[in-house]
Amino acid sequence: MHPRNALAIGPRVYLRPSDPDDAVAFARFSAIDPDPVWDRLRVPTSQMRYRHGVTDASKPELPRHLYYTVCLKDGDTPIGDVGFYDIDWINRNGETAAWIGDPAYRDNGYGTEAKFLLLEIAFDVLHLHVLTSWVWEPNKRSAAAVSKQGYRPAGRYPYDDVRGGEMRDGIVFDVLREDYLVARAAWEQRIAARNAAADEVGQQDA
Amino acid sequence: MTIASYLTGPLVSIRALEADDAKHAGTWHPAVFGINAHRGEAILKEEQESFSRERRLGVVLTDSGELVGGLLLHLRALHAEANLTIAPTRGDADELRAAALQLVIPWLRDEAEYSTISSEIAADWPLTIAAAEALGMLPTIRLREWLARPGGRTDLLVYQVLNPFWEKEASLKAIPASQRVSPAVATKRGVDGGEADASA
Repeated sequence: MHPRNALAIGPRVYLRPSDPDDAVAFARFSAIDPDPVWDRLRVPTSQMRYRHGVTDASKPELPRHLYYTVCLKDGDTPIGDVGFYDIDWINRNGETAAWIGDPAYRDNGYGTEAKFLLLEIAFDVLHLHVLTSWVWEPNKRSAAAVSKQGYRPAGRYPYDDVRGGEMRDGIVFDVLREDYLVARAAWEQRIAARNAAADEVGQQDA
Repeated sequence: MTIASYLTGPLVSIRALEADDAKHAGTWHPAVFGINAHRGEAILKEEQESFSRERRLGVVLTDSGELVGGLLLHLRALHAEANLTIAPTRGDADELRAAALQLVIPWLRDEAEYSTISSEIAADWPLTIAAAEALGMLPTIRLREWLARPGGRTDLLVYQVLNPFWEKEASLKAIPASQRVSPAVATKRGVDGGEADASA
């Protein structure tokens, strides 16, 4: 029989997460310890205290999802949100999502700008390694957006749902940090070129 | 523990999880930190009391009844997703996962008649991949470097299969060749960014 709930197994011992009922053994060990060198002094400790420690340590700590509100710098006005879903902190991956909720701000580059900030947080702050994005086939705006943001096609969920009497796929993308950096540099160049052109027009008008 | 007779194979079987299985939560729940009985009990309770579309079952050895893994089902109207977890200390995890997949996919496709069934399979699980392909599943998604491995990373593949009646009724091919991804190449990148074969 395999050791119960084992995380690692050696020739003689194995490790499993501590259970609250282990407090009985821990309390007994603390009461019979002959060795006063573990800490300043030997202290008999209650089952209750050990039980609390084990229970407390079994609570989930890291968030599974993170949400960020996209706000205009001018006026601190929320226009949408971006975020991460199903973050796997060990494998360092997750799914991204973005939504410019206020239609007045769609198709003006706000989504791409917000997404690049999200990817900056992902790769340079949280140190995630790879991210995915799911886009329903009819949502051509999102498919175009994530492609511009460095995401690459990873595959499809065929016949995901119906639109107009036709079954349409779900399209899956993924993005690594290097993909994001290339896409962001290209975007910054486009912004710079656009600003330069606008300045030129302004000077001519003047 | 009652094993579903229609989900009994020569190596593994599938059964419902019961309260006592909380003591073995690390076998059926993929959690790298480990899960103690207290947390396992809470997860079981949450899942039993929720009305979510997810259903978690146990994978046991057919001979001994020993719990060795879990099956997480995500069920929608037309689509079913079936992902398998095997206890982290099992050296035969790939074999057990492959055996479980051989039970689960025909059940969902032929009995439950889901139109599409998908399963996430790491690119460095050759026996599971072989089982999926023997079941007629095709790799339709490859997420690059999705999973961490000692010294590197490996890709995650999503294998899918369409119900035969669906293909017939819709007069559609299973999955166009252009939309498939190759299961053969599992990249593994070291910290220096160099690439090596996954089996290295």
